[in-house]
Amino acid sequence: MLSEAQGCAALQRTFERRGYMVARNVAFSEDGVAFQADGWDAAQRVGFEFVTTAAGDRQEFTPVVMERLETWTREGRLYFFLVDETDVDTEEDLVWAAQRFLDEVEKRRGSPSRPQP
Amino acid sequence: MTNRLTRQATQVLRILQDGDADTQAFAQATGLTCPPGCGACCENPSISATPVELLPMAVELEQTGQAQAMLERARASTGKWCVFYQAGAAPGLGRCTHYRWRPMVCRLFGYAGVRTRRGLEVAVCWNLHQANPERMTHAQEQVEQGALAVPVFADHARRVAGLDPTLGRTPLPLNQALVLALEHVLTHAAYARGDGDVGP
Repeated sequence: MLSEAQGCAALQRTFERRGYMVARNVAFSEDGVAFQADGWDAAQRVGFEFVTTAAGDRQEFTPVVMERLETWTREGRLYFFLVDETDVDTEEDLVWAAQRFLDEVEKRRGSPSRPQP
Repeated sequence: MTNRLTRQATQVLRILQDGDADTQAFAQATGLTCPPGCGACCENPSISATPVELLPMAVELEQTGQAQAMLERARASTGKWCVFYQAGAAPGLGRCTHYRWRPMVCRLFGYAGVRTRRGLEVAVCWNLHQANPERMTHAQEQVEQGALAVPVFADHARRVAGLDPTLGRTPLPLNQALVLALEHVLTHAAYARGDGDVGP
């Protein structure tokens, strides 16, 4: 099983390669839903959470919170990739799933656009 | 077949089996179980699943040389009941020919928790409800009081969707979901063999 650090590092690399500027361990709070996000690009409103017991995520990421995030993702309000450490066996599987997630995001609203420097 | 796809099918199957375990625990605690031989839910052609839930089934069919034939059968069965359902002697009676590989909806159809504004409620198959109204009411009360855990379909579905956000997002009628899962698996198998020919 991947550790919190391994999983988050792999996800950060994957999101950054696709153009997202991901800040780590961000305090997220909207409409009564509050948690520490493993990764969050506030400008693009795209983030990820690798749910692990070691990081204490199960207290924050209750099924109700996850359901709200999923609803918001469906509505296009934000896009949050949620995956549980018990469900993926290798980094390759995690990265592959994250890429499929970002494919879906980009299908719905295009690649991340950034102001030119 | 690629290693990644085989691993993914194993991971999906593990989540499906968690659904079974939750269902069995609920059945033991409440005494609510599907009547033997009942296939009423399987005779509803609108029952839906996401293609990723059918990935373990599709991988199994590919590995046992049945995938192409089943793909053709599923394509020809749009709008009909599940291709794996074998009807019995009377309407509402039958069995699943690929029970081990069935998707989450088939594991949780008898009863599953649904979150509403009022909290967690138990949705129960109509037949089961009619046969056990008192047990059903008691189970609902226990769930509402937090004294009894009920498998929540959305929670299992979310875990499965996390493994493949493309094939895991949109539920489709079972035969259509199976077509997509089989096409996905056959494409991977063809590339793994190096022939790239998966038919139309």
